[in-house]
Amino acid sequence: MKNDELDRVIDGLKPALVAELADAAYARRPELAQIQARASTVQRRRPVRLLALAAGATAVAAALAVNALPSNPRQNGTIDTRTFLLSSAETAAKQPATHGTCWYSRTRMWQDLMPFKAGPGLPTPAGKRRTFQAQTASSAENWVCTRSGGTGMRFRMHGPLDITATFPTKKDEAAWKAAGSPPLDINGGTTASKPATITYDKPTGKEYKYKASHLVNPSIGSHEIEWTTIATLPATKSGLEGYLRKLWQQDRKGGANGYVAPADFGRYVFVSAWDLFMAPTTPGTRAALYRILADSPSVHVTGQIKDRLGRTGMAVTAQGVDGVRLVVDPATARFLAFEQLSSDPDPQTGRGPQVGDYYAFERQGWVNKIGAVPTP
Amino acid sequence: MDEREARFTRLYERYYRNVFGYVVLRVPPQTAEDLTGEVFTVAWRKIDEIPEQALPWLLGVARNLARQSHGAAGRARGLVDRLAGLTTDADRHAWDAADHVIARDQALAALRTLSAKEAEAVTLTVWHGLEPAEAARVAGCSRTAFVVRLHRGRRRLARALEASHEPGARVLRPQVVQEKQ
Repeated sequence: MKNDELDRVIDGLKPALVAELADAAYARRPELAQIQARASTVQRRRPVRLLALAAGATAVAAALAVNALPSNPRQNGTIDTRTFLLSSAETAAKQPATHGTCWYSRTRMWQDLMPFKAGPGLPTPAGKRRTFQAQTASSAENWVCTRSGGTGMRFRMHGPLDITATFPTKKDEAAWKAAGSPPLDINGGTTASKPATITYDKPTGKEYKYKASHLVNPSIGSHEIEWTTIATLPATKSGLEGYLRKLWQQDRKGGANGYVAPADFGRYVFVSAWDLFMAPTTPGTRAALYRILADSPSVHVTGQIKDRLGRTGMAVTAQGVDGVRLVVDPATARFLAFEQLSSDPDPQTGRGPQVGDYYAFERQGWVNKIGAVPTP
Repeated sequence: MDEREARFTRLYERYYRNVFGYVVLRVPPQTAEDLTGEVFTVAWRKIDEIPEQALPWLLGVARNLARQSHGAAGRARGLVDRLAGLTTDADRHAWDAADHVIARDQALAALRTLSAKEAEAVTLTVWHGLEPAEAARVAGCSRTAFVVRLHRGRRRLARALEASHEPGARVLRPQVVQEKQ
């Protein structure tokens, strides 16, 4: 094989998503002042599972979702899974269909900061060791817009907003104060970060050979669903089930990225469901999705809970999808929160599994102008 | 803004994507942003030590940090697995459109036959556009050692790719391309 041909092969193996993720990371890079501040009090953080709301990251999450859980009855006290999910389907179907050019979402994310403890494989921090435990949270607004004439997409992020920091005990808070009340890490910034607005464009054209929508396309198994086709997904149970079964059968044989779908169709749908609930799917598609989940023996409603924003919802899990819990609002059938336990025990404390990711979906909806916020 | 700050600002703006693009192929995507931030934290602390050709220095720091913080987990999951985790339909379409002489899966299988250091050498030069001397700095070895590693890696890859053309060669196995050391 000739050298230039070999180079072409190697070059072709680099995933386009690397550049996409790099652009997105660059767009929300910390302010220089934060980097400089960290340098003076540098402290190694426990790796944070910041699941970018991006294609690929979802595939990673899906790939993690294995292992059997103890069997749960679908009847949990007075809660019947099937009844709840069918009722949610009815509720979802009654929601008005809306349209727009920009999909708005406001999401709140949490981060647990653990005290540093030396352990195997953990580098010793160069600066002061964290002596306290804390939990920080912030919200971010995102707009995903298609541009007229098919000229690409425009994205905007605004945040961090409503930054909070809490401590599990007074002792932790006292230790933080004793350390000089330093700003705490939160979602790539710190609790001292000021809100910033970042807007960036992705063109479509020959000069830009990759799809502009990679970062926001939802995934079903190993299949990426093009942003502009989300609204055309089947809106009946039989239609959507046929569509999903076809994708599932392809993924059973071994899909892209080495992903192999679980043998249980219901589990496959559950893993894909959170992506579809976060995306601008139509009320019909959402209703159909609830109906498919209602017919899936591995899906369970485990009880009423409050999410971290204090909203009451029903927890939905699936047997064999380890550590993932969705929270659904019984009144609106809206997806309120997503929780995923980290798959491993905490390396520093040995306790675990810990909550690895927690997202609360504060508001979503279509608007016609970037920067606009939909009415509740 | 003094001269040091101005230089750091230029480095940060110019190379953030490059560093992230390198890091995301070495650690889980969820932690790549954190690690990229740490690279520039180190860069600011050592701004006076950064050579004129800054990118190899930055990638070298990234490599060390990734090894420190994700050593065991990183080694358990090789480059090809990370590539697979980041591959999307667009890559497969782009591959098809580029009319390569070999299927993408076969090319990945060929890459898998390289040792970790050979794969690093091959990708550092093509993906990150580094000259051997610069790439050697990232890999923490002499230019000569790097060139040998690169040459060996490219030859092994070429053989593996050619082996996959042979009739009946449906699955590439590392022993097919074992070369005499």
